[in-house]
Amino acid sequence: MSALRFIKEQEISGTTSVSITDVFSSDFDVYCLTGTNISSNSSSHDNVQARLIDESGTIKTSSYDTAQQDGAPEAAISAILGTNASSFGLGSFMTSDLEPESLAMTWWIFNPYSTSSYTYAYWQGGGTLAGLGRMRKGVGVLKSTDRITGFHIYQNNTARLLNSGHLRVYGLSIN
Amino acid sequence: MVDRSNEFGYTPSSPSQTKNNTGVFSVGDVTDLLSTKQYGGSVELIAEESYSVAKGSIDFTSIQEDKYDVHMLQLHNIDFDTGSYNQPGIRLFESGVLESGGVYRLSRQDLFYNNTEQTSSSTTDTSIRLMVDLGTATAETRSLYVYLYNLGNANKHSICSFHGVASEGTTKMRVSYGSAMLPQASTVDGIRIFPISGGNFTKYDIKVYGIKK
Repeated sequence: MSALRFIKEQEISGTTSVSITDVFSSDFDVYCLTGTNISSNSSSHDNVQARLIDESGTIKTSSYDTAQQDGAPEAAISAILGTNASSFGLGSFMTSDLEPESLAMTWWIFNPYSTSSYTYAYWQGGGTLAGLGRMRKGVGVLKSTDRITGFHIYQNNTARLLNSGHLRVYGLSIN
Repeated sequence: MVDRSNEFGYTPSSPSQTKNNTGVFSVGDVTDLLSTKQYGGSVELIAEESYSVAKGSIDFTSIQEDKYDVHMLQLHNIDFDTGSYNQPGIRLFESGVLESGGVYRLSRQDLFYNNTEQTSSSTTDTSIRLMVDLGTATAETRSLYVYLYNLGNANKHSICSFHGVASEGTTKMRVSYGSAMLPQASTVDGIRIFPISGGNFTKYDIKVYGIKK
């Protein structure tokens, strides 16, 4: 039996933002979240950001420190940095575009349920957009000891919809 | 699902069990848990191959791309017999046909022990180049993991991200991470791993996993 234990899946269909709730608990300290097959309804590609949700259902919109690298096959790699930001950073869940172009991400999230620790995360993934490609790798922290129970992604431009894909959350078991 | 907390839990006894149960899974219990994807772990080994004789490429052609939309490769202890510097690369099979044209797109960053770095990017690669070149001397080796997405989805491009580390001599190390894509809406049903600069694998231990949906 592998140590990765499935918790919940959230399908994405015609929405500017997606929450996957009640996934972090006292059962695990470390979680893996995958985002796959995610495309938008617009050929004007847009950044997708990530945030966390606390146990009262409130999406946390402040106190994120982040460091990301944004890579493109046609350009140099650049850094995206932020302190006390409103999310894990611009494009922290990659960029979306019209099918067949899509994004795919894997996130690891640490201590979300703990009230004696901040919630840490690191992520990596890629996407195809505007006929080209994109690489994203980052680390971040939500500087809050609030109990975190869910995850949220949203389009930067709310006029565009996330049309397809899935979010899946797994817990990392230690026994 | 019917509450089975009176049946399975810890056996033979729990240090701090809050409910008294037998700790035994019946066939029905397993069936119920399988239906909610909560029996067994979510990382499933699909295929593996370890070095026995030198090989110029390693193909995995039964990757169950219809079952998984996230695959994970673990490449451990990789080395080659030729090339002053060589690196592992990936090519993908689309409906059984190997794609070796200049269509792969790559963005990769390499970090070195001496506080230097470089980027490697391309829109016309003939393969996915996973690691910065490294020598082939004894004890020099590479280990990496690769996530691959959307392989079995004929309506999406295939995407991967990867991260690896390599030793060079006894005092040097290199780190590479990046992302690549095959920007073609196709069904990828196989993966080839091979030495970019030619020659053969002389050491390898490769596992292919699927992450359960």
